[in-house]
Amino acid sequence: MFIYSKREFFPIDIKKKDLGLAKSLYAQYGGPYGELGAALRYFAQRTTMPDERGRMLLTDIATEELGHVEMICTMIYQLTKGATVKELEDAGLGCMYTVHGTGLFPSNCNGEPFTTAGIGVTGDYIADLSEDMAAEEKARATYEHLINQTNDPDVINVLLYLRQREIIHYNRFKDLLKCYKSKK
Amino acid sequence: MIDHYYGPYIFMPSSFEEENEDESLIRNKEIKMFSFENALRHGNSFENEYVPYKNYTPYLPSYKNQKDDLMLKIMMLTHVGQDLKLMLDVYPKNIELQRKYREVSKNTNELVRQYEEKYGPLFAGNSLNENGVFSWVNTKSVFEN
Repeated sequence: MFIYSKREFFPIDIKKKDLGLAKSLYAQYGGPYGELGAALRYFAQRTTMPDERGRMLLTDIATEELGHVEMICTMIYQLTKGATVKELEDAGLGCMYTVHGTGLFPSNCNGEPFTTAGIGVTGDYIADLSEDMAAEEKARATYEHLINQTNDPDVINVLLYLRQREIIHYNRFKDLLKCYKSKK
Repeated sequence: MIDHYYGPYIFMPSSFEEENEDESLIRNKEIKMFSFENALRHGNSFENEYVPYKNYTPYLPSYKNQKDDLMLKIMMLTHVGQDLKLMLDVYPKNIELQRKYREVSKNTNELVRQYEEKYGPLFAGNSLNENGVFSWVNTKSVFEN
């Protein structure tokens, strides 16, 4: 089960509207290396981990990733708050508005619906943990691209935090894989 | 036995539960940690694992009001607790990490209690009756600034 707490991991207070960046941020919401995919990937891989360490590491990281989904949604919400229809259209969000209004539909930065097609679940813990390490690196690279796309310190600061989490997760997956491999 | 948790094509020797050299090393070594403030600021509680990006220096807001400041402290403790928990998932025999995690969890719970007492519930179950209204819906959602 999960218990919701009404708080975030890191303060987010974005004051400046930036619809172009909001559109790009969808990459980390419903994109191939995004937070939603990460959460589902780790939840889905849990049952075939060889011991409780693996099951709990995947559970605890998946849970954190759900918190990151919320952070990304907060950022998109604050970056688009008060936008006019014309502004959304000019930023390439016209079609998104037509179908979803100002709701945050889980999709990638091209507006394509979230898909689990990019999530690897092999039932083999060595393969899955290797995939998880790669996924964290791809998410890190995506955050770096996003940082390169903005000058707003309020946004960059949160992106730096989220990027660093990918590094921590990568390290823990790597540690666990090393432990498992040494015992095979 | 752990064998039934994975397919028969993966061989797992019975020595799986034994500690290997890496685990023994981390169980005994001192882990260098950032202060609570710097851990949250960097997004990483472990100084030796922090990887900066370009020349960016992350920062934390400095709040003048007590409510936001208390929440920032909760974030700091929650953050360090999360990192300790993930480390303990992999290295559950590290006694020092266990001690730190228990201490951080206890302090987090205490700050959450203080916050809820003053500013409203962070968990639905701790809601009160506020002038006839369920206080869970009397505080802002996290995405509202």
